[in-house]
Amino acid sequence: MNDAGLSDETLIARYARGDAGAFTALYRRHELRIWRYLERNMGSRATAEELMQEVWFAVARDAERYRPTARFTTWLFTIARNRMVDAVRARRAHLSLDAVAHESETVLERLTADPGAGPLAAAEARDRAAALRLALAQLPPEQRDALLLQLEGDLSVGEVATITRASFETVKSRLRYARTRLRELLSEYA
Amino acid sequence: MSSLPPPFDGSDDADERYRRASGLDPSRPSEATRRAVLEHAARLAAGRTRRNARRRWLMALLAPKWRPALVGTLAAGVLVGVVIAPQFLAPIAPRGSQHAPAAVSAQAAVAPVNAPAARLAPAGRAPAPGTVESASPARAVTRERPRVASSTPRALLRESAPAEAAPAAAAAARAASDAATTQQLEQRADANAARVLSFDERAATASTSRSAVAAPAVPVSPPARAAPDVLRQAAAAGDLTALRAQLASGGDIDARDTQGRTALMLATLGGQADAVAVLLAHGADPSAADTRGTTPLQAAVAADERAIIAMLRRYGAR
Repeated sequence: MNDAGLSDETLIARYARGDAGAFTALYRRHELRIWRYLERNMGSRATAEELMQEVWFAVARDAERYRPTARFTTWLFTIARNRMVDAVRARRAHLSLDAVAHESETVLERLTADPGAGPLAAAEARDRAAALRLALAQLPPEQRDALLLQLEGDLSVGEVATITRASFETVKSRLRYARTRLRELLSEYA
Repeated sequence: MSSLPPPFDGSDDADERYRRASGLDPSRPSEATRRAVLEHAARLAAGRTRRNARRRWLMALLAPKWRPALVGTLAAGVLVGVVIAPQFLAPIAPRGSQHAPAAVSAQAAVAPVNAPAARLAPAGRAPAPGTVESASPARAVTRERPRVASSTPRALLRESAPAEAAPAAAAAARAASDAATTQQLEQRADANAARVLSFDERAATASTSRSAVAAPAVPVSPPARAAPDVLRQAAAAGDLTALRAQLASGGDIDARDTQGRTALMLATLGGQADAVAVLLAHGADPSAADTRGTTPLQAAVAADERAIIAMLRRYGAR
């Protein structure tokens, strides 16, 4: 059956009743967005793979509990963010104090800390995607998180505020700073 | 540097630059991750499908159009359980208050009692060492014979009317499974019990009955009767299989006949040590007297059934 025209909420409701095809359609529709949100926030492909499974397992398990009081995307990205936060906390709990400071930086953050690397180095390689990653890595985590939620999840400022448990104004401010910085870092690719 | 955020410029070229660059990013989740996610979701969906099917079936069962049939079926079941089924169950009467101590479990009680009882079994009834029986070969020979009725009343019966024994035995042997056999057994037990009058008298007669010819064995095959009758007959005849079957069916173990004799009394009168052991282990009242006031212990003493006397005393018989 063609699920392309069905809304996310309809698909998740159908999956909750046992329609595995609805889940597949839902997964294909949001796979890349969740993946980019996780990978660009964590800066680690391996961690993003683990989180990707955890997020979608949680979606499959809790599908029956989903109520369309909020958009499916909001629910989905809330799950993704919660899993990401848990992963960061768990990772920190298993590390020494010295390692915490080290691990708190993502791979990309460590890469950008290298004076020989950075957006310019990426630009020299004419790799726009790599430049984007590097640019995102240079954003403060809260700004990067808010920006990725809005751009990948197509969420409003209010929805981002709800997910991140921050005030509307705080999120709005973070988004402004993030955009300004991103514009600067990607100016060469305008 | 100003701490104020930059002015909001909407989803301007920054978003556009992000999307263009993001579209060029080839990074994707691995195929293994995708497969794991989809397989996991499919398994959960299959479980939900089964659960939903059961739920639909239940809801269909509870649908209004099936509700009368469901209620009718349940009502019929309740009717069968409450009204009809008890008619097929044997009535359970309350036990006497003078039973063996409850702390002694049936299994534990049977084990020690059966040990001497096995030595007294008809097939190989060797007398217990150190008993009067072992000292008296004549008595030992007497004990070898198969038996049904009580030794003392039987001896009394033989002594007072020796001619009765032969015809009775012959009739019983001819009709082993006949109902007449059972009737005869009952009559004999009644006659035996009637002779249990007093200790002195019984002691005197018992001493003279030692050499009397034993009554032949009467095979017992209790016909279908009311449970208490069958229980008493099985006890009197020492038919342990029938006795255990009756006890397992939950009948009144202390049910009495017209002369007030319980199964234990009849087993005692019949000299059936094994049956006595089984009955005591199942909680028979060891002191239940008949209408004449004779208790099983008195009957056992009169008959000099030492194994039975010992068992009865062990269970607190008076």
